[in-house]
Amino acid sequence: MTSLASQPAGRSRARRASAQEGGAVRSGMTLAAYLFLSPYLALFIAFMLLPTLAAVGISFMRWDILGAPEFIGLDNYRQIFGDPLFLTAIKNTFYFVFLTAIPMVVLGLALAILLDQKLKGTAFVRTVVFLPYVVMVSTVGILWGWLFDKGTGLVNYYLTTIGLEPVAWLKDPHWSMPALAITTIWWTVNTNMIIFLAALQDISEELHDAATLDGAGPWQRFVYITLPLLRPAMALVTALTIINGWRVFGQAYVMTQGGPEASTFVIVQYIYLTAFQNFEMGPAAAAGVVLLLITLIFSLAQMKLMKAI
Amino acid sequence: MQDRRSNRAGKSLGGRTLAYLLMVVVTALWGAPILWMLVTSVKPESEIYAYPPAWIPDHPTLEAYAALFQRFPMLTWFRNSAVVGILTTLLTLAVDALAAYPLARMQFPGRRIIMGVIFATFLLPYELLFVPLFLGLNSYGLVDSIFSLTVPASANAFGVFLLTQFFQAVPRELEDAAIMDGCGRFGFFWRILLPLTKPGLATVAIFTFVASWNNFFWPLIATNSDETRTLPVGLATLVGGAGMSMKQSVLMASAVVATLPTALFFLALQRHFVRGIAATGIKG
Amino acid sequence: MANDVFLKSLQTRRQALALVASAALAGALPRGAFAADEKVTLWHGWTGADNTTALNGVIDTFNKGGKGVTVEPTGYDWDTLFSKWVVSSAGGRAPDLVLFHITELPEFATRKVIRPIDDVVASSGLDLSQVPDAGRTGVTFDGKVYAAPLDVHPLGFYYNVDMVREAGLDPAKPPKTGEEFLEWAKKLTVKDGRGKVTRYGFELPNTWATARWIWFSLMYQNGGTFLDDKGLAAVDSEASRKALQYLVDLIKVHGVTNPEVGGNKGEDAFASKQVAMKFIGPWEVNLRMAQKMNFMTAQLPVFGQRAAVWANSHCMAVSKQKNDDKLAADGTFMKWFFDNFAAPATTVGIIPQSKAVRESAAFTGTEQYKYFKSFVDDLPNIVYEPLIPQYLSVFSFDKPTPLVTNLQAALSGSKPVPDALKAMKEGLDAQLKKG
Repeated sequence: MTSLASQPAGRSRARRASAQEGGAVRSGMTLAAYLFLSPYLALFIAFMLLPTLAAVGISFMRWDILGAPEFIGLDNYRQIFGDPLFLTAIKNTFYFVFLTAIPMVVLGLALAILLDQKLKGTAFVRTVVFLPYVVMVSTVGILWGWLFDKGTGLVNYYLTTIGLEPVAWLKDPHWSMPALAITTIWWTVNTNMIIFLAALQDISEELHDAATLDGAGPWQRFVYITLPLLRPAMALVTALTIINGWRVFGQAYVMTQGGPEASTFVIVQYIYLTAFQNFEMGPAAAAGVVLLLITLIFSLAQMKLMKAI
Repeated sequence: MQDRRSNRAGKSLGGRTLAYLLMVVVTALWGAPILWMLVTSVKPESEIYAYPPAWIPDHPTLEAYAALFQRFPMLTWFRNSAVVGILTTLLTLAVDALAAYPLARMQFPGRRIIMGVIFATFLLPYELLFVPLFLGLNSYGLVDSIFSLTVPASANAFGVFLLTQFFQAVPRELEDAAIMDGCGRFGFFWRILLPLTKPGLATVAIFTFVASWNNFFWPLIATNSDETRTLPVGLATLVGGAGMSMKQSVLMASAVVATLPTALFFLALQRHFVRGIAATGIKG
Repeated sequence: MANDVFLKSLQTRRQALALVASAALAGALPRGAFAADEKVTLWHGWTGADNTTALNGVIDTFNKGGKGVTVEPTGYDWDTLFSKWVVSSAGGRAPDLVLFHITELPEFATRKVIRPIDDVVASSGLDLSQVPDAGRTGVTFDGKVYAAPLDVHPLGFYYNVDMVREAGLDPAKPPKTGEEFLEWAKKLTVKDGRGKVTRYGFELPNTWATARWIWFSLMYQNGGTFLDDKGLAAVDSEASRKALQYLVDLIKVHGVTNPEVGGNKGEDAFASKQVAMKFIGPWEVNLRMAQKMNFMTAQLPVFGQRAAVWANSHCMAVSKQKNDDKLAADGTFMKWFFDNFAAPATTVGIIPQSKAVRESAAFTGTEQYKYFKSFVDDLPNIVYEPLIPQYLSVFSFDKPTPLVTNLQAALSGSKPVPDALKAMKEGLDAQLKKG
């Protein structure tokens, strides 16, 4: 997302230089631009921006939904940072991001390369890999909750047939987060694959052919041609993976309810339960703002890092 | 897109065998859970926990599906979800495309700020927006209506970002020529830009439709009866919480029923979909 | 505040929006039933195909009974029912009647989303004297009756009859004491040639609430209580420690159970024959019958010095509205439902509170009754969890509360029992003082 957001500005700068227009034309363009934007902006302001501002405002208030809100300054922020459960949630969510980020990007790329081959059946396999994307989160949670069960789950059944010891995936605090990461990868790696697939198909054949003529092997071609050309896609995929990682909730909630021993309790679950079970909207909103800041910092850092490489 | 691919696997038999082997493994890993869901949904309850796990039921039955369709207003929920999904998708496409055009191709003051603000709202967990949104809509009597289920969801940041990318890929010269011909900006947008970026629109359509179809929490808050609720909200009443025993077969049947329409929607648009992303600005 | 700005921004398009909305509403909402009938909405959490069917069937009978009231039920799973209800109440869109657990009543009464119904009980003729004391106390808060108690669902003892026979035990004589239970559990635990357990005698999963309910029952059997007289946690008491240590010993010392086996989702250890015995409520009777299992139920064995068994109840309350126009209609249905509770009780798998219904042929004549009987027999021993206004946050199923986390830590062995209970008390006290 970040790279998407930042790209137009860079490109249009060049465009602006070539097509310098007079002030009158430019103000005509401004008018046209806002005319085009107006339906979206109207809906965006009413249904996204104002509720968002309301949420930020609520983070400075005490409010139980039923009563009247009362301004209490930074108390909600003090409350959540004094709550060991919130700190656990931040730690767990970070662990989840750590567990998913690299596999989601690497596996997404590997799948894309595999299914970019000119072989029979790639279209079918692509469809199979993409199918999980359309499955509802509650279904994903119920299905994988069962697959990961120690005694009745398919995962352990097949692990034991190849001679491994069964693992109590979701009931062992050491395995619960990896299990959640595996589920998430199965469910969403396909969007990363699709983006890489698209980028791969845009790399011109001539480049590869020329390199082959020059005596470059497949590995060299991959490292010196494909990888550098995949950088923009890589930036997008990494950003999306990290942002979505920080916002993980549904599958964790359905599969483990945050347990066992709080090992899968994540930030959005903290927000959800604080808001809709304890009806403490203030601390919930404050936690939301903290999450927004965390993802913002990670996105900006990732953007800087990608530029530096 | 396949036609213009050359064989990068290497022409060796070994390379191809390896590729096929990997493809089989990938198909098994990604397909098995979905297949298990299907198989379980047609098993009688007494066979669900057979060990070792059986991929072919001894006595396949459609009992679970019958339970769903006979005892729940499934068709009503289906209709509601379809109407909501289609309206949301159309509205999103219209509004987001209009917005993405100037953001992608025009210079105007405020552009960067607008992009930044849209991006920032994308980072806030939606769960927090629901209470203000509900109370706001409610004070205008708009809750429990198609309006509350479609219009708020169409102010979608993701769609704008994606379409901005697609629109940027269209060459500048085309626009200059169109405007020179007296086509006007809207004419260019409508007659040239949109037809050229159909794959992009298909991509946004799939993302929007799937998101709308699977959306749970907002429709839960925004609907008040069996008659207006959407499929996921209705199906959640099958799952049950504490102290409610549930039948695995019925659960899985409901999962199949819920997944089918989006799977079909995806299959129908799939060709456009991959090509659509290929046309984004994410190229080398 | 920000909210007001939000509202104002909508003002300009208000009429257009209202037009769109009313058109949509007209298309989407059901036509009102008979014009003469008063419409009453009911929200409940009896999810699942069978439960919904049973409830809707009973309500259909009522609606056709010409009582001048039409009830429209809507189901939510328990987790979202409360969120939905509170948000809707804030918007003035609450339902008329709500069905929930008796233990949650003090919280809802404190949040003022329900109203006292002494007047409704009196005018409708609902006979609360049919209800055991525990149930009547449960629906009373601050001296006022807030709901009609409908059922009880205590913990019970399920065992696999085939396995019991195989082990040379008599399925007609289930264990009544802790010693007898342990003997069964040991004999029902099966190991393979290499000493690896292939089946445990007993199910004690460390996820969900089962372990908590069992520990809670044992604590009361040992003479303990969950709260002390000051309303703070008494979970570090000797009775509580002994109860939890007993469960941990079943795992660590006797090896007759494993907290990693079983649970409430797809991991059905009882049906998949991974365990021979389990403690759970009567709501699993119908499922076990559908799975064609050869099973039987019994009263919970007495491990301590007195009988005690965890239980909860569903009750029906009147959601607070701007006016009391529908109270009479609410009362009409409430009384009728209370008196005609046998059918939903049988399908959902719960025991009717009303003595008359409980002893009626409509309940005792069902094929499920042979399993329900032991639950009925245990009714004098039931104990509710503390009726406190912080119930949902203290006893939450789906949050790593001090209660859940420390219980899991004790069962998994990551904390010794006394440490876990000490940490639990500290956490609970912080929650309890908050309210």
